[in-house]
Amino acid sequence: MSLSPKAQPILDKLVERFGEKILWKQVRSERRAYVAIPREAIVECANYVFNELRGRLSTISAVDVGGGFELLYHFTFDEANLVLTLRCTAPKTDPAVDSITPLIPGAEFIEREIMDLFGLVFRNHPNPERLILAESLPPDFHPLRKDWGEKISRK
Amino acid sequence: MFVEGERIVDVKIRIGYNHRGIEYLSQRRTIHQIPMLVERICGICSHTHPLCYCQAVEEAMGVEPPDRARYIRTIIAELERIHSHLLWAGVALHLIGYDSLFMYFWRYREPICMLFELLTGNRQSYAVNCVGGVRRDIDVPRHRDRVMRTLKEVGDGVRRLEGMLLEDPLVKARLVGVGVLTRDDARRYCVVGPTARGSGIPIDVRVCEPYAAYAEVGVDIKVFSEGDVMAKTLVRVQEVVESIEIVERALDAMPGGPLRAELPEPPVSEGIGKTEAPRGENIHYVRLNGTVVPERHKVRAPTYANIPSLVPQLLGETIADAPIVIGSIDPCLSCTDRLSVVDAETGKPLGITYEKLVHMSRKKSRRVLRSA
Repeated sequence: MSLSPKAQPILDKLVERFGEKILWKQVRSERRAYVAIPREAIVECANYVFNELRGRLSTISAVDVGGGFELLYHFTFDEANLVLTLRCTAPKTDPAVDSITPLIPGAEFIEREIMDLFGLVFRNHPNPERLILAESLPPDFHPLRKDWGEKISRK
Repeated sequence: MFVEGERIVDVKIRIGYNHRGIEYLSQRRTIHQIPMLVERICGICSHTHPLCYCQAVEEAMGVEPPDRARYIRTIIAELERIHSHLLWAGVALHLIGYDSLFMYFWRYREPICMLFELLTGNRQSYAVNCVGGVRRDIDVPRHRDRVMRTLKEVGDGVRRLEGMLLEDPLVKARLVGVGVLTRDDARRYCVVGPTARGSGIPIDVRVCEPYAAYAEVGVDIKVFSEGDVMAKTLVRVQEVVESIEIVERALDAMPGGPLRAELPEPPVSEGIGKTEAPRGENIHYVRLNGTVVPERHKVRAPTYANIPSLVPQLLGETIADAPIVIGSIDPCLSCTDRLSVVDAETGKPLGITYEKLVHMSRKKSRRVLRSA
């Protein structure tokens, strides 16, 4: 699989800039690319993709993968018809990554939502309040964690 | 909203307890049940969510829907855009107290709902999509005349109403220069859809990442650079006319063939689906784990991306302009129930309810009319 001619230079530039930091990359179709990076590099990478490559943050998907959480930052390049997804993981023993909201105000809601639903902490978030769960719920109430159902039934 | 007198000086958005756990439910359904579930995310965009989900699963499975299915998806998606934009135009005009034009717009929305009933059996929640194609055929020879006649009537009507909007002094006074979202702010807040196109950012998933049959039937993207409420209004009104033409072209070019593709066993894979909902880019992420139940299904609806951009749009406006500015991004109205107006100096809530707010907005129109 290879990217379309317009999309390929975007991936090339990212690889050139962050060569050693990139753990692995995958091109799933001519308009979908996935790049895995260590979680420490997410702010630097997101800054480059948003401000230099001019990508637009569509959303962030979080996935509970058992031992940790995977975060997928979907950046859309409208002119090149590409969705570039940066992915990083955080272990459950230390579920935290740096917030990109100071960089991209459009990420505020989705980061707060992930904090609510997964209990993942975004460090340096300017407004880390609850977004969609009620204030009255206990602090360890994270319904999209895989062990959430068991935890509730045990109580 | 924090105010000094009438002026809005700060805005803090709380979106209310609308969380319904659709993603949680979705991860406990089979991939073939989920279109029924996501169809119920929103009553107005009840085609775009299942379409977006199906595209994500099709991408993960490596399946292409057949040609006829892609055309049917396009036709329903555009009819949905017409009825959604007309609904919005009516609500917006009601908010500024222009009820006669509001009723005109809704008068043209009704025939579109009747078309839905004719083509799909339902006025809302059309249940057209399934993974790999569509569930219902459109009987073109039988329905073509009726559809074309209705579309012509609606098209003529909306063109006439657009002329009235452009000339009307009240509409001008209330919409021009109000609630401006600059191009830079639009980019920083990552807004989508008519909100972005009203601020001069030419993004439209139908053009940028053509899905369904948009590559074949073509879409003319509508962009205005002013960024005010009027620009967003004109984007929507002109898109209604454009959508009518798309449906006409798609009906005439409809190919034959099967309605759904053969599906393989679910692989271990992931896919991203994107569609242009009436309110903007809609994106679904699906991860499959080799069973019929997805590992993860993430939904990002367009209003979610647009709401944070209300902060720069509201700052500096008056309370009476707040309803139309908030309305200009076409939010799902259940989100605005938690708006409270607070005195910035004392920190005390002023106790302004939704009804009071709309009343203030409509009163301002009457004031504008009297002074004209």
